[in-house]
Amino acid sequence: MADFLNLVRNENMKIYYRVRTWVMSAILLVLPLAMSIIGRFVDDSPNMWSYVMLESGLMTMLLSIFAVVMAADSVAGEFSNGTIKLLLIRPWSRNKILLSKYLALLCYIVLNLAVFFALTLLLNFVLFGGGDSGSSIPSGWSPFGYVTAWYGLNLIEMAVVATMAFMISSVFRSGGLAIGLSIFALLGSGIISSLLSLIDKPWIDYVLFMHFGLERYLNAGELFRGHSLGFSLGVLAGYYVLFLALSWYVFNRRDVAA
Amino acid sequence: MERHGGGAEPVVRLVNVTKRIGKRTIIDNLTFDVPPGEVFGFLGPNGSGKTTTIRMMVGLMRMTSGEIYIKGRSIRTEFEAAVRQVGAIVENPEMYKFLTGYQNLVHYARMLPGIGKRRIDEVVELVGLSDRIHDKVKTYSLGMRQRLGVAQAILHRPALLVLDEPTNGLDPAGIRELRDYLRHLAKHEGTTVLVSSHLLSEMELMCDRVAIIQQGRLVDVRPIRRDAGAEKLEILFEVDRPDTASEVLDGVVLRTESGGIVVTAGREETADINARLVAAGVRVYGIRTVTKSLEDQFLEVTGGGRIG
Ligand SMILES: Nc1ncnc2c1ncn2[C@@H]1O[C@H](COP(=O)(O)OP(=O)(O)O)[C@@H](O)[C@H]1O
Ligand SMILES: [Mg+2]
Repeated sequence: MADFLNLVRNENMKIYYRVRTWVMSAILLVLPLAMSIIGRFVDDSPNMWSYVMLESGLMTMLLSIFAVVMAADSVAGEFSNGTIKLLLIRPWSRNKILLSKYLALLCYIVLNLAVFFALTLLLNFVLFGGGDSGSSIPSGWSPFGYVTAWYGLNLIEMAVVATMAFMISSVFRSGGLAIGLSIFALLGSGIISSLLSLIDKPWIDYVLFMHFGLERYLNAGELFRGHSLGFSLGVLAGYYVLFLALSWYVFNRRDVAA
Repeated sequence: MERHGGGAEPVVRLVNVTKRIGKRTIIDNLTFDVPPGEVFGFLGPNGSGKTTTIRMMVGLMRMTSGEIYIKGRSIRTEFEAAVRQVGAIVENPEMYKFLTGYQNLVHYARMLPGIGKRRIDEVVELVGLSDRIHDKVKTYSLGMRQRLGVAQAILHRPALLVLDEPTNGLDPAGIRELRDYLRHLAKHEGTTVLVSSHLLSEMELMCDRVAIIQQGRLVDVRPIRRDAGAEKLEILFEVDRPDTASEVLDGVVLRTESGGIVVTAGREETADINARLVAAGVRVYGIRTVTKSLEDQFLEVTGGGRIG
């Protein structure tokens, strides 16, 4: 029996042998580099942690979008190119094939986020030195502890959004729809949650969009609608499990007529 | 395991396979066996259900009812064990265009146990792609993609090779090469080959046996005689005394009908039988074939024209 890891290697090959992937990663590296270097010359009172937070905010938003593109293409791309047929007629269950795709996607997200986390800390430490964090880090947190927690919560959100895109990709076999809906959820969640909170109904608290922007829980005293971090994580976990269940159920049953 | 007529176990068995999509019955109660070591043709006009049947055979589509066995393993309940015996191209051989031909083969080799670099190189050589195998697939012609498709299908030396309309997009030389290669696989490697086509002429050159399908129903399964004169047909002899004729041709007669007898015979045998009847004093008023030739049958199915 060939190793399951071989399936993940295959999926990785399909991600990293594409120019697109490297262009996206290059953007993730070049943008913060440019921002910090420009800041080094024009900023009168530069502060390492304010640059770390500024760049991290922008980069995690970009990486979320890239992750959504990857997730959307993962299953739908195989259908639209017709390669799904040759992929599924191997001695592997559809469960495992889908799992290999999902694991490769998670690896992509974690790897990029980890590289970016290390890069932005190192880059800004070298350019600006350690020093006082000023107002960029909420009081009561060590700067490093705060940034780490911030990345952790963003990783969770990214995983949920990417899983949503993966689900749409698997259920509707449409990469465009998966990208569109997921990016709408990413960018529109702020507005939608503000609008929804105008409606005073208990079910609002269980809408997915109300629970993006987890990092606000790190700033004490900024509780949104009285939710706790635990409650938001619970709701996100519920959606996450639902997305996975739908992806697997539909992918397993689907007649492949591509 | 059940044996058929003393021959070997069939490589593929379709048992009452039915596929309905919505209210439409696309495949209707299809039952046939593919014997081992043959090039087996699956012949039918466009839209008759060849691709759908092949999709069910390799587990891409579910059957509404019925069962398909590959070397005795059910594709439904023992998918992995069944599909391990199969290499296939379903419709067009779509590969990852942003990868090279070689990387594509590595991709499929990784999904199968025990396929090393040596086997990949061997297969590349075999399909004649050595010069271009390290180029991206997006630069390949349709013919080269077909070759790469065949390469991925035979990588694991499958007992059954399934090719859906493999001659589409090939030039006459390519078709000829493919035909020779398939016959070689069947004869020397013992691979059973199932090819579908809507062209009778191709099937006649390539196959040992064909199943004819129309609107999802099996019309007939029949062997192809390389020598047309040797094809055995049911022949009706119109005679004055069927009973006497039956006695004269002791054992040869299939059945007696009012006004005649029916026998199975080739061209020469028909003449011999006629001579024996006449010699015995039976008056023969007419001789005609009852079964249709493959071509007649197929023309009837396709409504006279060959859909091209
Ligand atoms: N996914 C589908 N949904 C509905 N009808 C389909 C589907 N796939 C094929 N068909 C219909 O089934 C019939 C058989 O198609 P197909 O198996 O592709 O035929 P062939 O390969 O012999 O040309 C056609 O009439 C086609 O329109
Ligand atoms: Mg077809």
